[in-house]
Amino acid sequence: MSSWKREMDKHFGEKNYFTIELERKILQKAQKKNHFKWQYPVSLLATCAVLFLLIVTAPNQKEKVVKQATPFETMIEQSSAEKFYIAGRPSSREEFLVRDSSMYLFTKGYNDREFINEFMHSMILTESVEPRYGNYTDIIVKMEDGQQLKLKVFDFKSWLGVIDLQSRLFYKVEGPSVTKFQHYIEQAKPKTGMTVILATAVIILTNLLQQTMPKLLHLPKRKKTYVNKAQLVVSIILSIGLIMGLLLLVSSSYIVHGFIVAAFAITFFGTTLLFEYIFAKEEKYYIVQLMTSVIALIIIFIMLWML
Amino acid sequence: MDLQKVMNDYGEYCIRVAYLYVKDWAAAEEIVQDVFLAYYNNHSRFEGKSTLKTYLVKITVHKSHDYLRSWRAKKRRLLQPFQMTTTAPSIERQAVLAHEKSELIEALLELAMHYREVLILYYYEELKIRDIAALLECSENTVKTRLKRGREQLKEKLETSEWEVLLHE
Repeated sequence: MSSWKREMDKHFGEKNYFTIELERKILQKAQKKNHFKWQYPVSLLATCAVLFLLIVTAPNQKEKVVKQATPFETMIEQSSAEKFYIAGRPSSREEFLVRDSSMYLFTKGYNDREFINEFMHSMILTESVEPRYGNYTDIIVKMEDGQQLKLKVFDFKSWLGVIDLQSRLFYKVEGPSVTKFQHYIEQAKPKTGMTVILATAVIILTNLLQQTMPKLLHLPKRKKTYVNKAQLVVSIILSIGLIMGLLLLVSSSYIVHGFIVAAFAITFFGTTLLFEYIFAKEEKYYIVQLMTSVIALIIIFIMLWML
Repeated sequence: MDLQKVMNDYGEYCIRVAYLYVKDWAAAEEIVQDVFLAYYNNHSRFEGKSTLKTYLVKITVHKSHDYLRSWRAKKRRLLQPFQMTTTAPSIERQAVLAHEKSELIEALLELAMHYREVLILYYYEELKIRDIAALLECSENTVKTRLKRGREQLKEKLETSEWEVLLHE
């Protein structure tokens, strides 16, 4: 024993600073702390429930077909079209899956005035051959005077059948507009290949970051991915919530605004980050989580923009 | 895991270490509570690479750092000069306290935190320089420099006779 240690121990003397009361207090707290941390999963479940309700109770997704007659011919004579939006996903006869903003998923907006005006002027009223089943393409045409035309288009390959949703009248389009419109439909379709590549990139990049960042930041090596059972439970609930949310968002009958998906992604990564901080603050792994989340969010936003 | 046994074995040691860091017995008690609760909740992460004593000291050091960085500690330090004691110790008691208070401890507690802690870890915990560097997340050279400067500052504060005794350890 060094003289330093002797001197210090002499200073502290024989007195016990770690008293029985203190020991009892710690034991009591330890027993309390041993209880399952129900607050975390419950609060998380509540977050998921709120998100779920938010999406379910979002503005009416399946827009009902209005049957009031509005003279389409008068409308195109009075004003000209300035923009049109095409739904990237096919719709059934009863639903209308496009909105007047490119911010919605699976919706593409085009400013080709010349084409859309030419297209509308080539629409000839004809006897309805409206197919009962099949895939329609929904479009909204925005007129200069603020009016909107809601059309459902059926591709008969050599010609197009167009239904004006307000009057329910059936029109036929032939000529050069057909090929050009078919080209726009192709363009508006979601780029599945690129989406798969980006989704794979998210998984690979986040894994790579989680492997390399701790080494770069000189963080202590983690033996387990989760520091305790509560974090594992929270992660499982979060993953279930995320999968449920994503299934709901990409299901065919939902028209989702990009902000909802962005809010969903931010909530997911934010909660993961928060719980990483709560459970393993000392290990400083939340820095890794923060970096991973930022990269993942950037790629997800690119994906949304492409959809 | 028997928490009570661990506390019986190392509780006193840990509270003394915490005190040398924070210079306040009440704060040291709070720290030591956190230390054993942290150990109790995460004892599965103790891999047995070092002794349990070293492991607990490491937690104590981290918790003491956390405390010193906390708003609570800063407030306490700020208000200390303004706090009035209602009953001043008697002259006899003052004499006993003065006698009991070692000059070395007095001088050590006056040192800046980064010098004090390397001296505590090196001389009181008897840790190796390599272990101190790992614990404080700095290089071995930094530890050596702090040790050297800490010793120099301590020398200035201590009487020559006492310093010579310490040099012979």
